[in-house]
Amino acid sequence: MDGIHDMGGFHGFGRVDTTNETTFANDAQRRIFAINMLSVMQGVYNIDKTRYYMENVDPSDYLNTPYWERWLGMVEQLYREAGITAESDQSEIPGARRIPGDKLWDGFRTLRIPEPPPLPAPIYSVGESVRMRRDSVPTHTRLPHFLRGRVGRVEDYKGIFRFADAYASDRPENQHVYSVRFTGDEIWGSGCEENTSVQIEIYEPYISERVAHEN
Amino acid sequence: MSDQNHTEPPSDFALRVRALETLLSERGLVDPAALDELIDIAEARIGPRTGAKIVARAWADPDYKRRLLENAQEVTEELVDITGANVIVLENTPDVHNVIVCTLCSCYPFRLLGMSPGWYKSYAYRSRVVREPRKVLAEFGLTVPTSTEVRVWDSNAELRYLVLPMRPEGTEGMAETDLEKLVTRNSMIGTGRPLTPGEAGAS
Repeated sequence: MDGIHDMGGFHGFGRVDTTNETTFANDAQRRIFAINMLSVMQGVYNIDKTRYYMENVDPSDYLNTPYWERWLGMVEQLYREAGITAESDQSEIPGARRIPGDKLWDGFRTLRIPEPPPLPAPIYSVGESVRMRRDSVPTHTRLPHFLRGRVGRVEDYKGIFRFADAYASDRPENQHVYSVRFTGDEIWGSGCEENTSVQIEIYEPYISERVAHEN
Repeated sequence: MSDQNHTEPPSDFALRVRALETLLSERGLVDPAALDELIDIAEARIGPRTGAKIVARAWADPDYKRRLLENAQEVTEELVDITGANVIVLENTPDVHNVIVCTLCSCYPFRLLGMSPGWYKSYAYRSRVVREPRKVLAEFGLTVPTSTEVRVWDSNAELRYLVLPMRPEGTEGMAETDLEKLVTRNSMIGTGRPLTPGEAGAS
Protein backbone atom coordinates (compact mmCIF):
# COMPACT_ATOMS: atom_id res chain seq x y z
CA MET A 1 0.00 0.00 0.00
CA ASP A 2 1.08 3.59 -0.59
CA GLY A 3 1.34 4.52 3.05
CA ILE A 4 3.29 7.02 5.10
CA HIS A 5 5.38 4.15 6.49
CA ASP A 6 7.07 3.82 3.06
CA MET A 7 9.19 6.88 3.75
CA GLY A 8 12.53 6.04 2.13
CA GLY A 9 13.74 9.14 0.30
CA PHE A 10 11.22 11.56 1.83
CA HIS A 11 12.43 15.07 2.53
CA GLY A 12 11.75 17.22 5.53
CA PHE A 13 12.43 15.01 8.56
CA GLY A 14 15.58 16.93 9.46
CA ARG A 15 18.77 15.76 11.13
CA VAL A 16 19.00 12.38 12.79
CA ASP A 17 19.03 12.74 16.58
CA THR A 18 21.99 10.40 16.94
CA THR A 19 21.82 10.69 20.73
CA ASN A 20 18.34 9.14 20.97
CA GLU A 21 19.10 5.76 22.52
CA THR A 22 15.68 5.27 24.08
CA THR A 23 14.27 1.78 23.61
CA PHE A 24 11.35 2.00 26.03
CA ALA A 25 10.15 5.19 27.68
CA ASN A 26 7.78 3.52 30.18
CA ASP A 27 6.42 0.19 31.39
CA ALA A 28 3.36 0.27 29.14
CA GLN A 29 5.68 0.35 26.12
CA ARG A 30 7.55 -2.68 27.50
CA ARG A 31 4.28 -4.55 27.98
CA ILE A 32 2.92 -3.89 24.49
CA PHE A 33 6.25 -4.96 22.97
CA ALA A 34 6.05 -8.21 24.93
CA ILE A 35 2.34 -8.82 24.28
CA ASN A 36 2.90 -8.48 20.55
CA MET A 37 6.04 -10.59 20.40
CA LEU A 38 4.49 -13.33 22.50
CA SER A 39 1.35 -13.28 20.33
CA VAL A 40 3.47 -13.81 17.20
CA MET A 41 5.47 -16.59 18.90
CA GLN A 42 2.23 -18.22 20.03
CA GLY A 43 0.83 -18.16 16.49
CA VAL A 44 -2.09 -15.83 17.22
CA TYR A 45 -1.19 -13.91 14.05
CA ASN A 46 1.84 -13.58 11.79
CA ILE A 47 4.42 -10.82 11.73
CA ASP A 48 3.49 -9.62 8.25
CA LYS A 49 -0.02 -8.88 9.44
CA THR A 50 1.36 -6.81 12.29
CA ARG A 51 3.24 -4.65 9.80
CA TYR A 52 0.23 -4.33 7.54
CA TYR A 53 -2.06 -3.28 10.37
CA MET A 54 0.46 -0.78 11.71
CA GLU A 55 0.93 0.94 8.35
CA ASN A 56 -2.76 0.93 7.47
CA VAL A 57 -3.58 4.01 9.56
CA ASP A 58 -4.17 7.70 9.08
CA PRO A 59 -0.76 9.12 8.09
CA SER A 60 -1.01 11.91 10.63
CA ASP A 61 -1.63 9.38 13.40
CA TYR A 62 1.34 7.35 12.21
CA LEU A 63 3.64 10.36 12.36
CA ASN A 64 2.34 11.75 15.64
CA THR A 65 2.16 8.57 17.70
CA PRO A 66 5.22 7.36 19.64
CA TYR A 67 6.78 4.21 18.21
CA TRP A 68 5.49 1.58 20.66
CA GLU A 69 2.10 3.26 20.94
CA ARG A 70 1.59 2.59 17.24
CA TRP A 71 1.71 -1.10 18.12
CA LEU A 72 -1.24 -0.99 20.49
CA GLY A 73 -4.04 -0.28 17.99
CA MET A 74 -2.69 -3.03 15.78
CA VAL A 75 -2.62 -5.64 18.57
CA GLU A 76 -6.10 -4.65 19.79
CA GLN A 77 -7.52 -4.98 16.30
CA LEU A 78 -5.90 -8.36 15.63
CA TYR A 79 -7.34 -9.79 18.87
CA ARG A 80 -10.71 -8.23 18.09
CA GLU A 81 -10.68 -9.99 14.72
CA ALA A 82 -9.78 -13.22 16.48
CA GLY A 83 -12.92 -12.79 18.59
CA ILE A 84 -11.20 -11.87 21.83
CA THR A 85 -13.04 -8.86 23.24
CA ALA A 86 -14.36 -7.77 26.62
CA GLU A 87 -17.89 -8.34 25.31
CA SER A 88 -17.33 -11.88 24.07
CA ASP A 89 -16.51 -14.79 26.33
CA GLN A 90 -14.28 -16.47 23.78
CA SER A 91 -11.03 -17.86 25.14
CA GLU A 92 -9.78 -20.01 22.26
CA ILE A 93 -7.88 -18.96 19.14
CA PRO A 94 -7.63 -21.74 16.56
CA GLY A 95 -4.02 -22.60 15.74
CA ALA A 96 -2.56 -20.65 18.64
CA ARG A 97 -0.71 -22.21 21.56
CA ARG A 98 0.14 -20.79 24.97
CA ILE A 99 3.85 -20.57 25.82
CA PRO A 100 4.49 -20.68 29.57
CA GLY A 101 7.07 -18.23 30.92
CA ASP A 102 9.55 -20.94 31.88
CA LYS A 103 9.61 -22.40 28.36
CA LEU A 104 10.12 -19.14 26.55
CA TRP A 105 13.87 -18.53 26.69
CA ASP A 106 14.89 -21.88 25.26
CA GLY A 107 12.50 -21.48 22.36
CA PHE A 108 13.69 -17.95 21.70
CA ARG A 109 17.38 -18.77 22.00
CA THR A 110 17.36 -21.73 19.64
CA LEU A 111 15.00 -20.36 16.99
CA ARG A 112 15.77 -21.58 13.49
CA ILE A 113 14.04 -20.63 10.29
CA PRO A 114 12.26 -23.76 9.01
CA GLU A 115 13.11 -25.09 5.56
CA PRO A 116 10.51 -23.88 3.09
CA PRO A 117 8.83 -26.25 0.66
CA PRO A 118 10.46 -26.35 -2.79
CA LEU A 119 9.36 -24.24 -5.75
CA PRO A 120 10.03 -24.46 -9.50
CA ALA A 121 13.48 -23.06 -10.42
CA PRO A 122 14.05 -19.32 -10.02
CA ILE A 123 13.56 -17.27 -13.19
CA TYR A 124 16.46 -14.84 -12.84
CA SER A 125 20.19 -15.34 -12.40
CA VAL A 126 22.99 -13.57 -10.59
CA GLY A 127 24.50 -10.84 -12.77
CA GLU A 128 21.31 -10.06 -14.67
CA SER A 129 19.72 -6.62 -14.71
CA VAL A 130 16.08 -6.60 -13.73
CA ARG A 131 13.34 -3.97 -13.59
CA MET A 132 10.97 -3.71 -10.66
CA ARG A 133 7.26 -3.71 -11.38
CA ARG A 134 5.50 -0.35 -11.34
CA ASP A 135 2.23 -1.62 -9.90
CA SER A 136 1.24 -0.30 -6.54
CA VAL A 137 -0.85 -2.77 -4.58
CA PRO A 138 -3.42 -1.48 -2.09
CA THR A 139 -2.39 -4.14 0.44
CA HIS A 140 0.88 -4.93 2.22
CA THR A 141 4.06 -5.09 0.17
CA ARG A 142 7.77 -4.95 0.92
CA LEU A 143 8.84 -3.28 -2.31
CA PRO A 144 9.54 0.33 -1.29
CA HIS A 145 7.98 2.98 -3.56
CA PHE A 146 11.38 4.41 -4.47
CA LEU A 147 12.32 1.23 -6.32
CA ARG A 148 9.22 0.85 -8.48
CA GLY A 149 10.18 0.79 -12.14
CA ARG A 150 13.92 0.95 -11.28
CA VAL A 151 16.54 -1.36 -12.69
CA GLY A 152 18.98 -3.17 -10.44
CA ARG A 153 21.51 -5.96 -10.69
CA VAL A 154 20.86 -9.37 -9.17
CA GLU A 155 23.79 -9.79 -6.78
CA ASP A 156 22.75 -12.98 -5.06
CA TYR A 157 20.02 -15.57 -4.84
CA LYS A 158 18.93 -15.97 -1.21
CA GLY A 159 16.54 -18.91 -1.37
CA ILE A 160 12.84 -19.45 -0.80
CA PHE A 161 11.05 -17.41 1.84
CA ARG A 162 7.57 -16.69 3.10
CA PHE A 163 6.07 -14.08 0.79
CA ALA A 164 5.22 -11.18 3.09
CA ASP A 165 2.64 -9.68 0.72
CA ALA A 166 0.60 -12.90 0.81
CA TYR A 167 1.02 -13.76 4.50
CA ALA A 168 -0.16 -10.26 5.45
CA SER A 169 -3.50 -11.25 3.93
CA ASP A 170 -3.41 -14.76 5.46
CA ARG A 171 -2.40 -16.50 2.24
CA PRO A 172 0.46 -18.90 2.84
CA GLU A 173 2.72 -18.51 -0.18
CA ASN A 174 6.47 -18.74 -0.66
CA GLN A 175 8.66 -17.07 -3.26
CA HIS A 176 12.23 -16.96 -4.47
CA VAL A 177 14.17 -14.05 -3.06
CA TYR A 178 17.06 -12.25 -4.75
CA SER A 179 19.42 -9.65 -3.33
CA VAL A 180 19.35 -6.79 -5.83
CA ARG A 181 21.54 -3.70 -5.88
CA PHE A 182 20.44 -0.33 -7.29
CA THR A 183 22.86 2.54 -7.83
CA GLY A 184 22.10 5.87 -6.21
CA ASP A 185 21.93 7.44 -9.65
CA GLU A 186 19.30 4.93 -10.84
CA ILE A 187 17.08 5.65 -7.85
CA TRP A 188 17.58 9.33 -7.18
CA GLY A 189 18.82 10.74 -10.46
CA SER A 190 21.38 13.48 -10.82
CA GLY A 191 20.97 14.68 -7.25
CA CYS A 192 22.27 11.45 -5.77
CA GLU A 193 25.36 11.27 -3.59
CA GLU A 194 28.45 9.97 -5.33
CA ASN A 195 29.22 6.26 -5.21
CA THR A 196 26.23 5.08 -3.18
CA SER A 197 23.79 2.23 -3.64
CA VAL A 198 20.85 0.47 -2.03
CA GLN A 199 20.77 -3.30 -1.77
CA ILE A 200 17.55 -5.05 -0.84
CA GLU A 201 15.72 -8.37 -0.92
CA ILE A 202 13.42 -8.71 -3.87
CA TYR A 203 10.72 -11.38 -4.01
CA GLU A 204 10.50 -12.75 -7.54
CA PRO A 205 7.00 -11.28 -8.25
CA TYR A 206 8.41 -7.78 -7.64
CA ILE A 207 10.41 -8.11 -10.88
CA SER A 208 8.61 -7.16 -14.08
CA GLU A 209 11.28 -8.01 -16.62
CA ARG A 210 14.86 -8.78 -17.45
CA VAL A 211 16.70 -5.81 -18.96
CA ALA A 212 19.48 -6.14 -21.52
CA HIS A 213 22.75 -4.61 -20.35
CA GLU A 214 23.38 -1.20 -21.79
CA ASN A 215 27.00 -0.74 -22.97
CA MET B 1 3.31 -4.69 36.50
CA SER B 2 2.48 -1.44 38.29
CA ASP B 3 2.78 2.10 37.08
CA GLN B 4 5.50 3.61 39.24
CA ASN B 5 4.67 7.21 38.40
CA HIS B 6 1.95 8.38 40.79
CA THR B 7 2.23 12.11 40.18
CA GLU B 8 0.27 11.84 36.91
CA PRO B 9 -2.69 9.61 36.16
CA PRO B 10 -1.79 6.83 33.74
CA SER B 11 -2.14 7.81 30.10
CA ASP B 12 -4.86 6.40 27.89
CA PHE B 13 -2.13 4.34 26.31
CA ALA B 14 -1.08 2.79 29.62
CA LEU B 15 -4.71 2.12 30.57
CA ARG B 16 -5.42 0.43 27.26
CA VAL B 17 -2.28 -1.72 27.48
CA ARG B 18 -3.28 -2.79 30.98
CA ALA B 19 -6.83 -3.58 29.87
CA LEU B 20 -5.50 -5.67 26.98
CA GLU B 21 -3.07 -7.60 29.16
CA THR B 22 -5.78 -8.23 31.74
CA LEU B 23 -8.18 -9.51 29.08
CA LEU B 24 -5.59 -11.83 27.55
CA SER B 25 -4.39 -13.24 30.84
CA GLU B 26 -7.91 -13.72 32.23
CA ARG B 27 -8.83 -15.68 29.11
CA GLY B 28 -5.76 -17.83 29.61
CA LEU B 29 -4.24 -16.69 26.31
CA VAL B 30 -1.01 -15.28 27.69
CA ASP B 31 1.07 -16.14 30.72
CA PRO B 32 2.04 -12.82 32.37
CA ALA B 33 5.29 -14.54 33.39
CA ALA B 34 6.08 -15.00 29.68
CA LEU B 35 5.67 -11.26 29.17
CA ASP B 36 8.03 -10.56 32.08
CA GLU B 37 10.45 -13.05 30.56
CA LEU B 38 10.38 -11.38 27.14
CA ILE B 39 11.04 -7.97 28.69
CA ASP B 40 13.95 -9.42 30.63
CA ILE B 41 15.32 -11.01 27.46
CA ALA B 42 15.02 -7.70 25.62
CA GLU B 43 16.65 -5.64 28.33
CA ALA B 44 19.11 -8.00 29.96
CA ARG B 45 19.95 -11.05 27.85
CA ILE B 46 20.33 -9.84 24.30
CA GLY B 47 22.56 -6.95 23.30
CA PRO B 48 25.51 -5.74 21.24
CA ARG B 49 28.05 -7.77 23.23
CA THR B 50 26.75 -10.81 21.37
CA GLY B 51 27.54 -9.23 18.01
CA ALA B 52 30.90 -7.98 19.31
CA LYS B 53 31.99 -11.54 20.17
CA ILE B 54 31.22 -12.62 16.62
CA VAL B 55 33.08 -9.68 15.10
CA ALA B 56 36.15 -10.18 17.31
CA ARG B 57 36.31 -13.88 16.41
CA ALA B 58 36.00 -13.02 12.71
CA TRP B 59 38.90 -10.59 13.07
CA ALA B 60 41.03 -13.14 14.88
CA ASP B 61 40.20 -16.29 12.94
CA PRO B 62 40.17 -16.19 9.10
CA ASP B 63 38.48 -19.59 8.86
CA TYR B 64 35.66 -18.48 11.17
CA LYS B 65 35.30 -15.28 9.17
CA ARG B 66 35.03 -17.19 5.89
CA ARG B 67 32.34 -19.47 7.28
CA LEU B 68 30.53 -16.53 8.91
CA LEU B 69 30.30 -14.65 5.63
CA GLU B 70 29.17 -17.77 3.81
CA ASN B 71 26.50 -18.87 6.24
CA ALA B 72 26.16 -16.90 9.43
CA GLN B 73 23.15 -18.89 10.63
CA GLU B 74 25.30 -21.98 10.98
CA VAL B 75 28.22 -20.46 12.87
CA THR B 76 26.93 -17.85 15.31
CA GLU B 77 25.92 -20.62 17.70
CA GLU B 78 29.50 -21.83 17.99
CA LEU B 79 30.26 -18.69 19.94
CA VAL B 80 27.13 -17.30 21.52
CA ASP B 81 24.16 -19.04 23.12
CA ILE B 82 21.63 -17.60 20.70
CA THR B 83 21.07 -18.48 17.08
CA GLY B 84 21.48 -15.74 14.50
CA ALA B 85 18.42 -17.24 12.81
CA ASN B 86 18.11 -15.29 9.58
CA VAL B 87 21.23 -13.13 9.80
CA ILE B 88 23.63 -12.24 6.98
CA VAL B 89 27.03 -10.73 7.78
CA LEU B 90 28.26 -7.90 5.53
CA GLU B 91 32.00 -7.28 5.40
CA ASN B 92 33.29 -3.72 5.22
CA THR B 93 36.37 -3.30 3.00
CA PRO B 94 38.33 -0.32 1.68
CA ASP B 95 36.00 -0.46 -1.34
CA VAL B 96 32.60 -0.87 0.33
CA HIS B 97 31.12 0.53 3.53
CA ASN B 98 27.85 -1.17 4.52
CA VAL B 99 25.08 0.42 6.56
CA ILE B 100 21.70 -1.02 7.52
CA VAL B 101 18.23 0.47 7.77
CA CYS B 102 14.60 -0.57 7.52
CA THR B 103 12.78 2.13 5.56
CA LEU B 104 9.38 0.42 5.83
CA CYS B 105 9.32 -0.27 9.57
CA SER B 106 12.08 -1.08 12.05
CA CYS B 107 13.64 -4.48 11.19
CA TYR B 108 16.92 -4.88 13.05
CA PRO B 109 19.25 -7.81 13.88
CA PHE B 110 17.98 -7.76 17.46
CA ARG B 111 18.95 -11.32 18.30
CA LEU B 112 22.61 -10.33 17.94
CA LEU B 113 22.49 -6.59 18.77
CA GLY B 114 19.60 -6.31 21.22
CA MET B 115 16.77 -3.83 20.93
CA SER B 116 17.28 -1.03 18.43
CA PRO B 117 18.00 2.52 19.62
CA GLY B 118 15.46 5.30 19.13
CA TRP B 119 17.35 6.92 16.27
CA TYR B 120 17.27 3.72 14.19
CA LYS B 121 13.46 3.86 14.23
CA SER B 122 13.30 7.64 13.64
CA TYR B 123 11.67 9.05 10.53
CA ALA B 124 14.81 11.08 9.78
CA TYR B 125 17.05 8.01 9.68
CA ARG B 126 14.58 5.81 7.79
CA SER B 127 13.81 8.45 5.15
CA ARG B 128 17.26 9.88 4.63
CA VAL B 129 19.88 7.16 4.90
CA VAL B 130 18.88 5.55 1.59
CA ARG B 131 18.98 8.87 -0.26
CA GLU B 132 21.85 10.75 1.36
CA PRO B 133 23.80 8.18 3.35
CA ARG B 134 27.00 10.21 3.38
CA LYS B 135 25.26 13.19 4.98
CA VAL B 136 23.57 10.94 7.53
CA LEU B 137 26.83 9.17 8.39
CA ALA B 138 28.46 12.57 8.82
CA GLU B 139 25.81 13.36 11.45
CA PHE B 140 27.14 10.32 13.32
CA GLY B 141 30.67 11.74 12.94
CA LEU B 142 31.62 9.24 10.27
CA THR B 143 33.15 10.36 6.97
CA VAL B 144 33.50 7.74 4.25
CA PRO B 145 35.77 8.74 1.33
CA THR B 146 34.00 8.95 -2.03
CA SER B 147 36.37 6.28 -3.35
CA THR B 148 34.51 3.88 -1.02
CA GLU B 149 31.01 2.87 -2.07
CA VAL B 150 28.40 3.42 0.62
CA ARG B 151 26.04 0.47 0.29
CA VAL B 152 22.78 0.84 2.20
CA TRP B 153 20.98 -2.40 3.02
CA ASP B 154 17.24 -1.92 3.37
CA SER B 155 16.08 -4.80 5.60
CA ASN B 156 12.71 -5.25 3.99
CA ALA B 157 12.02 -8.97 4.16
CA GLU B 158 13.10 -12.04 6.13
CA LEU B 159 16.85 -11.48 6.39
CA ARG B 160 18.63 -9.33 8.93
CA TYR B 161 22.08 -7.83 8.45
CA LEU B 162 25.07 -7.42 10.74
CA VAL B 163 28.00 -5.31 9.54
CA LEU B 164 31.49 -6.74 10.04
CA PRO B 165 33.57 -3.58 10.43
CA MET B 166 37.22 -3.40 9.37
CA ARG B 167 39.68 -4.37 12.06
CA PRO B 168 41.33 -1.23 13.44
CA GLU B 169 45.01 -0.69 12.79
CA GLY B 170 47.43 -1.31 15.62
CA THR B 171 45.54 -4.34 16.94
CA GLU B 172 47.88 -7.05 15.69
CA GLY B 173 48.36 -9.72 18.30
CA MET B 174 45.56 -8.46 20.55
CA ALA B 175 43.59 -11.15 22.36
CA GLU B 176 40.05 -11.82 21.17
CA THR B 177 38.58 -10.64 24.46
CA ASP B 178 40.38 -7.30 24.06
CA LEU B 179 39.29 -7.01 20.44
CA GLU B 180 35.68 -7.42 21.60
CA LYS B 181 35.97 -4.23 23.61
CA LEU B 182 36.71 -2.27 20.44
CA VAL B 183 33.50 -3.31 18.72
CA THR B 184 30.78 -0.69 19.13
CA ARG B 185 27.13 -1.29 18.35
CA ASN B 186 27.10 1.44 15.73
CA SER B 187 30.08 -0.15 13.98
CA MET B 188 27.88 -3.24 13.48
CA ILE B 189 25.04 -1.09 12.06
CA GLY B 190 27.44 0.84 9.84
CA THR B 191 26.92 4.25 11.44
CA GLY B 192 30.21 4.10 13.31
CA ARG B 193 33.68 2.61 13.38
CA PRO B 194 35.24 0.36 16.01
CA LEU B 195 37.28 2.04 18.72
CA THR B 196 41.05 2.20 18.41
CA PRO B 197 43.00 0.56 21.25
CA GLY B 198 43.80 4.06 22.50
CA GLU B 199 40.13 5.08 22.57
CA ALA B 200 39.14 1.85 24.31
CA GLY B 201 41.84 2.36 26.93
CA ALA B 202 40.65 5.88 27.59
CA SER B 203 36.96 4.98 27.89
